[in-house]
Amino acid sequence: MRWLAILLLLYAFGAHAAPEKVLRVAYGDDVATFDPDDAIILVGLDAERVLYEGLVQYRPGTTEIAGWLAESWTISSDGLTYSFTLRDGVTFHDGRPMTAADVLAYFERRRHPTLPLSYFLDGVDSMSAPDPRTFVIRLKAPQPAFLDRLASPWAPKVIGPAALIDHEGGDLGVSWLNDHADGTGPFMLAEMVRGQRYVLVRNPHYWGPRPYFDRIELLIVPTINQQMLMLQRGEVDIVEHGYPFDQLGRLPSGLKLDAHYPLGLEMAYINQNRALHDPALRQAVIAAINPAYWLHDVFGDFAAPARSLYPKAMIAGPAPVSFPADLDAARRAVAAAGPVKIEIGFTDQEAPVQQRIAEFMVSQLKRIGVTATVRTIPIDQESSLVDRLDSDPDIFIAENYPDAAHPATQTGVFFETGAALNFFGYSNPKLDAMSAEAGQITSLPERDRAYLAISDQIFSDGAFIPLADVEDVIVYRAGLTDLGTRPALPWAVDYATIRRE
Amino acid sequence: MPRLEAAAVCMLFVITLVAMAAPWLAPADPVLKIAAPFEPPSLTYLFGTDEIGRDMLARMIYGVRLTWLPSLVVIAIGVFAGTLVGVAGAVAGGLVDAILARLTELFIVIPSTMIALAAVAALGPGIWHTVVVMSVFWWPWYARIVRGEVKAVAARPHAEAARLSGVRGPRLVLRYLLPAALPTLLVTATLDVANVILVLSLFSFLGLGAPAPSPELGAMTARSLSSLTTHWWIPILPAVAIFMLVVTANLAGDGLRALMKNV
Repeated sequence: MRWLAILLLLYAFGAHAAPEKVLRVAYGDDVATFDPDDAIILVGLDAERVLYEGLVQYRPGTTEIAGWLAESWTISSDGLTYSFTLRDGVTFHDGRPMTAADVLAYFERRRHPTLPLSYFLDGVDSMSAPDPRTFVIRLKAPQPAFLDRLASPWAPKVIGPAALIDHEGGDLGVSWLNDHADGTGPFMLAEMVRGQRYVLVRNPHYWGPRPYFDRIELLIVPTINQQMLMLQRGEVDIVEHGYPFDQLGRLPSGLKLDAHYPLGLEMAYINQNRALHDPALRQAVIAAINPAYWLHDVFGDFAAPARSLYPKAMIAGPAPVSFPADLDAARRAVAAAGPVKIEIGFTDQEAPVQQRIAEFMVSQLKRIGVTATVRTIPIDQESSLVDRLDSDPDIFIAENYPDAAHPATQTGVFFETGAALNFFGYSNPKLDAMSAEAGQITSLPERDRAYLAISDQIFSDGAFIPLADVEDVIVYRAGLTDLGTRPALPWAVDYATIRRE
Repeated sequence: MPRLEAAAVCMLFVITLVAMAAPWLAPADPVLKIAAPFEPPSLTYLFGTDEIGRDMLARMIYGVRLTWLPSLVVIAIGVFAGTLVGVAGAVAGGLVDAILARLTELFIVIPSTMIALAAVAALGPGIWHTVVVMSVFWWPWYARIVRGEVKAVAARPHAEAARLSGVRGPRLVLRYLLPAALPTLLVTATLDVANVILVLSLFSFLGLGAPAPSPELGAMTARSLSSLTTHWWIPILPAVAIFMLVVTANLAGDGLRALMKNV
């Protein structure tokens, strides 16, 4: 009896002493909000997708679409009606069960025009919840890219009634969701200290596989130098973005890296409203900024010359884009144009890398007689570049991400007339027509051919210059496995699958 | 003058010459990639190459030019404006002197560096914006020194005699009053160069100096901090250059002060 008591005591002690499994991740910036409808975020995207879940998602490592909250779905033969069968046994973080009526209420919220991501559902005609496990979306016109939009990292993700009813507050729950979360995901938001840290704890009632980690601590560490030191000292487990490329070849022992091609594409946007309005001069400048001159110096083995204006994870183009190669001709064109001074802008989101590319370009441009300077454009000013074309830089370089893996999302966001990230107001009616036609093609090879033709057209116009496919590199402490990275999910691991050996 | 300080004064002249002759002295164009990035210092590239493959020595020589010459301009404007205000107050006296003295004190007590940072951020980064904004805040100490010196000199017999013999206006100031303030002014200005260099470097470190790829010393250090443990020469050498400039300016100021005492 005495031995039994001792054994029970030891068991109880052992149970209490079992250490909590904690994953610590360095974030380079604060998170604007975890509200999946209120902002396009990059930092924090991986946390958002374990708080909230959408109907479908991309499988890890691919752009194949798999069910998420939707167990299955059917698409009507006219391509207009999407009928989703919802997973059984899903509950929100506050314990309430999720039904199709909740999903419908959430999707109605997402369509509200005051929310910046409402455009994802622009083509939706009507929605309904005919029974507790069926959710139906009817489109105004066929959209072959619609399912991709629903699998996008910024896609609708279901928010529960705690936000949409209990704390709606007259602003669709936006204020409450700035500091709280009520989704169906495998983790719940436990602590939120803006500018310092966010803590997620495992959802004990999660419908899916139990995550390995009990607790995810997201620490805001603004400088990459500090992140690197913390990683080496074991104070964080993962640096998801920004580890200097030139140091990846000699990582300290105990660190590993995961590299994969994302949907992002390094591009140069040419402002045709200032010094580069002359096509001959533009071609000369394009010859000088050829990534062949700087790609390896900047990215080492972690990038490849772009094959088109679509990232290779989206369309694997046949060969790298061919840049004008005659630098003597470029020099002559510049000399004929007189003294040429241009400015290269780069986004502050990845300032060290972008600045390096810009300065390589400056050096190369000087060789053809162009004087160039560089300056930073804060990321929140990117979308207003189109409003001040006369004072904008002549070239803007950035790695930007489309909404999803379907090329229509790249064309629709960057290249079409009036597109949200068409920074310098490029407009070509012929291209818009080609894009509308390509957007309706359902055969993948045909579709890709149509979009590659669009890419050639834009490149020959000298409006957008595809520079490089750059790998997303995640540096982490050895022992972590099942990172669950996805091409469509920038700077992110999957906290639901990651584990420590 | 002690030997070290004398050497520092000579160094100031050398630095000024280097700054002015940078285009002829630099072994390469500071903007052009001339070799592979991250080449360590060697006989071929004495200071190595930076993250773009630009010659670090060339960039340092131009960096001295972009730091040293604007510092001299800021000091020159500060001395000129401060002298005008100081002399005007001291000579006019009364209400004018009181107003100028309060204005000077106002500029001394406000947190000038912070306001200058905000002003340059608002105007947009650029070396001349920085110089103009810094000059606006750099004159008050000189005004105070000149005012005190001129008032003291004005009470001396030779100035009194000049006034009694009918010397007035600019001639009185330039011939009898101001020369007495010059030694103090010169020593202060020389010592002050070090402060200006530090503030200018701070501005460029924060990205408020000349736009990249200008080889500003502060900006060169700031941009390459992540290379500190792997390619030390890229952030360290510009920082050492700033340190050397500041030490040299301080030593030269001390030397001049010693010299003036003995004159």
